[in-house]
Amino acid sequence: MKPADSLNPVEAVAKPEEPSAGEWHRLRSLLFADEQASLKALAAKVGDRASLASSVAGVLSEAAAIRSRHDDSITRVLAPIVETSLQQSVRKNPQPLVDALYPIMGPAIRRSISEALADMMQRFNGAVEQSLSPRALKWRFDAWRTGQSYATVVLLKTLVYRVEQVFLIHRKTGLLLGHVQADQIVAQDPDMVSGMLTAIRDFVSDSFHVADEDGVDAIRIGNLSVQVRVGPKAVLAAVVRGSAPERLRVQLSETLEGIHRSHATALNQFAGDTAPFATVERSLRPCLSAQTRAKQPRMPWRAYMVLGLIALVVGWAAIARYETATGWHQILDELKQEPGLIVLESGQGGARTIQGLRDPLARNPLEIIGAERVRQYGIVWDWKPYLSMEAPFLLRRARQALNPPKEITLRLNGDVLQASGVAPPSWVREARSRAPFILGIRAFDDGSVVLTGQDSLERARQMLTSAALYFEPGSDVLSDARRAKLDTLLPSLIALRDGTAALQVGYSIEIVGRADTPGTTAFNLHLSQSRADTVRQYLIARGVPAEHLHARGIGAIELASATSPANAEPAEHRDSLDTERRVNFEVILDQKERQMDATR
Amino acid sequence: MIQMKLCMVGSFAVGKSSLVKRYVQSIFTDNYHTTVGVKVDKKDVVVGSETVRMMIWDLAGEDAFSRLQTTFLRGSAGYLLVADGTRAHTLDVALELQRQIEAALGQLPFVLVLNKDDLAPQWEVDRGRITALERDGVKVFRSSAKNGHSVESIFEHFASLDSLAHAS
Repeated sequence: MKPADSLNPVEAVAKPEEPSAGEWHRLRSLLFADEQASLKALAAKVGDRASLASSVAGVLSEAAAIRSRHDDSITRVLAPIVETSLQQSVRKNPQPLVDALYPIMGPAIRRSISEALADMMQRFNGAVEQSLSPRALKWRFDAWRTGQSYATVVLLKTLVYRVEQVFLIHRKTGLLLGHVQADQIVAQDPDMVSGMLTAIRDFVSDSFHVADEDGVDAIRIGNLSVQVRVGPKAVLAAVVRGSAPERLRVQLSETLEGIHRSHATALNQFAGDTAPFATVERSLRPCLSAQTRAKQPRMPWRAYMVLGLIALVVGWAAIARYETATGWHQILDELKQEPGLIVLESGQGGARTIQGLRDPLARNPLEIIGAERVRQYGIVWDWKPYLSMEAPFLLRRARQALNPPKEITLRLNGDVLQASGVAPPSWVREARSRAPFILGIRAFDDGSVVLTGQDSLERARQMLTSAALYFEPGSDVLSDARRAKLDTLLPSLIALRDGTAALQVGYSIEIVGRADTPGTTAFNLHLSQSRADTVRQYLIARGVPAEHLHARGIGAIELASATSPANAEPAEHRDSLDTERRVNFEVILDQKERQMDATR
Repeated sequence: MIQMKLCMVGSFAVGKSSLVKRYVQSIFTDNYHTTVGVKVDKKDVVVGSETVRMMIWDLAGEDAFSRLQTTFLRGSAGYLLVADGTRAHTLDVALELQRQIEAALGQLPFVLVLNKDDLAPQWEVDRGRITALERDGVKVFRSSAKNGHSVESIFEHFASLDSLAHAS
């Protein structure tokens, strides 16, 4: 404490003698005890961090509220602090912030997406509408006629209002402090417009003797107006196309007031330097509002129509493509299923190609697929030959190699080729020798083949049955001529033997001896038997198996002359000899008997 | 950027407009003189490293008997008094205008521009009078619409006045 010695001249005059420090102290205590106590308490409160903090804490939020009403300095001060805190928090551990934001992020994103989609749909519809409707064509014509862009014409036609430019003008000098303009607006030099606008306002105020504040607040030229708001230091002028709504006037006033607050010093001290107003554009830009004619929200049917059309075309193309694909796969399947064809590779890059193997006996792929489809799908194929071991091909190859008669059926049992039906023995012999050389066939079974040979057999039988051997009266002796005659029958006998063997039938030859009518019946019977035996013995001697030969004498038969065979002896013999003294042959075939081996 | 408002005042037909026509940017026609009474043009002048943008308010011609619309001069950093050297009474009008301005707005920087320097032999304003004015502290420029140099130097004069004001 500084002693207040010379500060009290009255006391100094009254008491020339210096009082002691203790007396002063006592006096101060007497006079200011209460104040000293409260000062002390106050000092303690301010000096002690904890109590100072609690005092400030008591009024902190009220103080902040009061200050924010005056200006935005708290926001300005806090903004960087909050930013830094957030950055640090995220760097340290982002989870709390993520947790905090999570409940709002999802709905926000969903809403944003759905709005964006709806907006896109509306825009698309608008675009379709604007490019297809008769009204749009008229507007395009207007655009072409007036030299404006189509977008501008559309905007002007659908506009309720649009703020095209905003000027912030220094009220006293008319100098331009700030200017913003909407996109696609061709504006005159804003500095000169600003000056001229001020001049016009001055002119009006002067001419009609009104105060500046009450002067021009709107200039209207047709569809265009200039809305003017006058502040103490600056004037805000907005160029508006269309009819400005009341809320725009309010917005302009609020903007101007805001600028007066935020740039109070710069406006008060303005002497031509516009640098402090560099940021004023940010405040002006929100004034560049616009409103197009509110359309009834309706079904964007044009968009749906166009989208539907697109879907139809795409669907049709997809179906066609699907059909082509399935058609192609079907072709491949058909080829794969065909015996004797093996599809090794197939591709459909550009042209459709097939590479594979084909048995020469397989069906022509062109027949399977048909030339029409080959052309339609543009198929190019390359078949290399191979031999198929499949049963149908083994059979086909066997048929080619063996060339069986049409009565023969070939079957395959494993690798054994089975033949059935009727065939000549020669074919059977041939087949037996060839079959083992056919690829894929191990053995040949002809057990079910009925051998043919009827023709030769029949000829032999006819030769034998028509033959007659004549004898001298009462004789059973074979003359040389008769022996020679019998020898001529030998081939027929061999044919008979072979023929029956081929047909697997048994046979027997009845040698029937006869006598002429003179003589007794017994004699004649004996003679005829003797004649038959003679012939049988001769034939046996010539090699004919005895078991097939049966001799039988039948005596004399009166009707025998009438049945003289055509193939009888020459006439000279017949003339001189009685035709009844003879031996005939009868051939008996036994169908029941059958030989297993035809060639033996 | 530094901006300043300059005014041009003077009698009828002293060649105010044609004086600056070739040296300023303009978007408005001379019709504004007869309608609004003023036409605003623009001129950028570089002084040192700084560009000074001058908004030039070209006021309609006045005569001694009409009252000057001093409202237009409000807030201007200075003005040009323009007179026609071949017609002495235009200098009288100019000085009368200067008096009116000073009465209405107080002292403002101004220069006196004596136009039609190219017609020097026909001048009615004599040298003595000019000298007397200069002695009173009036900055006098002799110019002609054909003489670009002096027009530029008039604007530079004002620009340097202004940047001096800002520098101080």
